Amino acid sequence: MYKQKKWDVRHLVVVFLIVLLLFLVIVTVLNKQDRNLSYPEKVIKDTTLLVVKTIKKPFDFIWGKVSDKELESLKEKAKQVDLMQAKYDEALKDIKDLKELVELNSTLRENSHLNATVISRNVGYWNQSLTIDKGKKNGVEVGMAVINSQGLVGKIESVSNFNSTVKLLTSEDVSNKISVKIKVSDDDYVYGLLNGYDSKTKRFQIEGIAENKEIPKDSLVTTTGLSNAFPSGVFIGKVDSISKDHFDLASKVSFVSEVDFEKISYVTVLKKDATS
Amino acid sequence: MIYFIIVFISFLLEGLVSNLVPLNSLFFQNCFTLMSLLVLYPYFFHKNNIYYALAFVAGVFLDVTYMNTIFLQGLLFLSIAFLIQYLNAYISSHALNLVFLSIIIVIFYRTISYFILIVIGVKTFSFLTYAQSITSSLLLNIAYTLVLYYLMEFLKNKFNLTKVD
Repeated sequence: MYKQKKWDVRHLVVVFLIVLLLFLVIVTVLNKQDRNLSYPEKVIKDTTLLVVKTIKKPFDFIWGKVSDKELESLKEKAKQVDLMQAKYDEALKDIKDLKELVELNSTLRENSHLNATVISRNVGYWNQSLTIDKGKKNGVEVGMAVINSQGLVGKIESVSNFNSTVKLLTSEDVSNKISVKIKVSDDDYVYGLLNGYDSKTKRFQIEGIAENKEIPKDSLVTTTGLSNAFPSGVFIGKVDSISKDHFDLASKVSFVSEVDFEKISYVTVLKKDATS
Repeated sequence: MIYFIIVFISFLLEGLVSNLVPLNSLFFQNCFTLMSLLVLYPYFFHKNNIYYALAFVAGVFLDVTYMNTIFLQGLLFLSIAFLIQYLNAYISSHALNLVFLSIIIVIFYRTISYFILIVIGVKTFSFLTYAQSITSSLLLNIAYTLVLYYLMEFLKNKFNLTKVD
């Protein structure tokens, strides 16, 4: 009588490897960088996040009551805004002149601000991302800069109709590079590329600085505006240390952000104005 | 129906709790949806297909809602559902064993995720980040597993739910 042959270990290993390979191919193809969300994804995301947002509201209310002290301090700071407005108007004039000089694509002035609340943070551990409650219907687009009161937080990675995902600057993503400038004196900057974040030291790295200028500690690091991705002049952090690269040709700058990436609850999206 | 509701609540909690703990918390990273699948497996006796479908759908929802990926968590959850089934064949379902199982599941989940992210080249992570991803996920998930286990025991007695120990 015919006896059914049992699967031996070799067969199982081959099947396992094929399944693993298929798994990796599917995941790689479907999760390529800069992909747009499909319609069903947008619907699922918006619907489920609406539920999360609704449940979160009472907690936000209670938390708001608890953190009244913070509100008082913010009110105090708001009183100083008028004084700063005068300085700001003066600075705008300078920006206009300078912008013409260096042919910037856009500046902070040409961006309108859209405030958003964080719905979820870094679910899944690896993503270093936030989900915010503003999306395509609010004018949010992929690549827009996201800031808070302490500086640049990240950029919009994907957008659904009513929500967006923000990729944080701390993301260990190989494509997360930003053109930055360091203010070395009143009217002098050196330019470089924000090349990554070291989670151990909690420092950002700037590389590709060919200019041989002395960079003082605590110099301000801001965006350049030389690409279309970010406007110019968005504050990122302050210089912490300077070293030379392996070939002793270019400087490597390490800087600290003032943003507390661990506890971001509210952010502002810098939307480009239609005229810019 | 009650099982689906519990998985859905765990899924919602995953997003809500992420707002309460620091972004890179050293102790409180949660995988509540996965833990709910672990606790609920004994209630799916002779309904393995439904269990696999539930795991896959929960993973896809997690993909789309929180992680901006597609089918990555879905397929991961499906493979973990197979692992849970395999482990449950040898280990009975009671509180202490569940603690042990939840540690295995967390390690398996983080390890596979780490290697996939490395292989597909989307991100680069150090080994320390990988080790931290495991240690930071144990405490809260074990606590959640135990809470859910006793909740399910209570519901089992109240609604006469079928469970295979």
